[in-house]
Amino acid sequence: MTLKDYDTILGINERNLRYVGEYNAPRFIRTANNKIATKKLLGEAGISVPETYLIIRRRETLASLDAAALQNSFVIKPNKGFGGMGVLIVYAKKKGVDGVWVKSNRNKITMVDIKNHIMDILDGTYSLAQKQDSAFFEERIKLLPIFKPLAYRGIPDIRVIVFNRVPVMAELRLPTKESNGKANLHLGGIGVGIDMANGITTNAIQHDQLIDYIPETRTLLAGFRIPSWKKILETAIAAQTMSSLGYAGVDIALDRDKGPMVLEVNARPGLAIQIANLSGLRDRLERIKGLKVKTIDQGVRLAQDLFGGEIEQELEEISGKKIVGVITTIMITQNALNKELRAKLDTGAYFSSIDRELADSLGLNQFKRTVKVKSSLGEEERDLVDVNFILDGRPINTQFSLAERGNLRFPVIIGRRDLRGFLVDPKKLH
Amino acid sequence: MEVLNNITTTSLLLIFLLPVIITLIVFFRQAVGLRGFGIDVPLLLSYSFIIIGPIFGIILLIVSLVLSNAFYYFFKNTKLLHLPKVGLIIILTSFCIGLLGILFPYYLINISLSGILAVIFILSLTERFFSLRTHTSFWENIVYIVTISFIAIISYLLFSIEVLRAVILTYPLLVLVFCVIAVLLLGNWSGLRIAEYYRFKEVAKNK
Repeated sequence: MTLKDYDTILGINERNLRYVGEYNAPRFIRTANNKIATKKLLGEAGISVPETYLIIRRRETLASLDAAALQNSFVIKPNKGFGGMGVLIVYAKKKGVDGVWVKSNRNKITMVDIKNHIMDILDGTYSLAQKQDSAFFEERIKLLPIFKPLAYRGIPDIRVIVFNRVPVMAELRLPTKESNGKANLHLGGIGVGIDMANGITTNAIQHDQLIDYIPETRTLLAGFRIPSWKKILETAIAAQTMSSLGYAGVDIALDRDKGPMVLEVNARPGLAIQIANLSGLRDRLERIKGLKVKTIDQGVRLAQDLFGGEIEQELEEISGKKIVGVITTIMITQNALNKELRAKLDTGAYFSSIDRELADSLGLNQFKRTVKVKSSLGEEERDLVDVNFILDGRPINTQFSLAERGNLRFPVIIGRRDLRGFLVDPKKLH
Repeated sequence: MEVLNNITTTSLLLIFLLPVIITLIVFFRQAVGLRGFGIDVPLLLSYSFIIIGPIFGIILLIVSLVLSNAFYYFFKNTKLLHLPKVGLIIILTSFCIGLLGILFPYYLINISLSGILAVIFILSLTERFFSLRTHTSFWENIVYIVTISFIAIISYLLFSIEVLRAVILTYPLLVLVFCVIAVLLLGNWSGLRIAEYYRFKEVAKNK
């Protein structure tokens, strides 16, 4: 390990000087630090955010707050809190008793406790520099069932760092026993790196140290596929664009019913995400700088193409097999044609086949033999012709059967015989 | 006259030392990567150590932290608002420190009027400890106290270097210019902090 190995890493000084300082104007940072204002801004732009039930700005309002006005389940947050401080999660109303609720740790909480907590928030206990603050009640996000084994009594969220409308790095943040159900890393939450291409988790950290399992369990943290990955990336880009911050950390939670929701936007996102991904931000940011990204789609594609695919590469290295999608492009090299064709991979077929007319026009007519092919329509005889082609960089010398495929979407089908050495991933897009 | 002369010299020295200590604090934060403090607390603690001596200062700091933590646990589950609770803890801690002063008057003999301010500042650090407490863990707070004490001790050691004192008194403007340039350079430095080389070692290894 030399000093040069540190070239790809973004440090605090550089983040503040070159990114926060240059791309995040103070007035937009102020808005981002104001959760109520941010939610309003994003909500009006059609970005999904947790519903705000009630805002309390003054002590007088608090005094007249009535238990009957509160929902069964809610979250209380300080408007200008940071790092998950002062967040109170209330699970449900206690049955049969008025003015008593149950917290996420199953302890009881009364109206007096709630008012005291809000009073502390108003006094600025949880805000930076202890300035006066407002408190608000919001909808409690409902846990997606597949997260149950990963999250300890809380809601995991996904931090996506977006720069110049391109998501550059992401991290799944899991609440733990130590973090008391909160997903914040410095409270002891777990940060899990994510492959940007497909939303599969890679490495994990707790307190900046790499870990493999959730503490005290045998639950492996790597290899978990985060649902709605593309939608998460799209939401992150939309939120960054609306926030007017050039460099932002967007926190997104997945609600069981409503899908991805933006919890908050950070103007100064933390750097530990680099450890969870075992990859430097500096390098990635440099590659994005100056790009004109016009649409959200383009941003998503850039993120997936530039900063993803590591998992796939690893699988290919282990298995020695190449991973291909169902629909792909092949290049016919027979007769020095170098002709690109769209093809569908079909593991239900043994021989590859090509449309007869197309084969004729390409001069693929070196007849080999006739074979019997079974299909859902019964058995038929087909001619085999020699074909050399390239699939995902690998040359293959084989024979294709000739079929009438003129009215089908794909003029070429690649069958099992030519798929030796490949793994077919139905989710991989061409 | 001699005494007056002496006092003026010390006061001048303490004033001209200010930019040096601030530069030191900025250096520890921006270049070394120690975290979690602003300028105010390490600066005041540095002067406290210079005035009442680092050994007495540290003993006082430890005793007041132990006492205040004991009171904190005592009042932990009482339903009091945050600020009054911290206020109560500081009142009781100060009272106990006062009692110790009566029991061991030897320690109080050398404390001048300005020394009392230093003692009160160290006592008031308790508030920082508990305000931080709502945000951070016990051990993070210990790290914070150790960090600012470390900076204050370095300041004290700098102050005790005869040559440096002479330089500060003889060429105060030069020292000022040096400090301003150093702070400007640190403010523009975008490289990794020393602590970050440790923090990100796994990332660098993986490259």
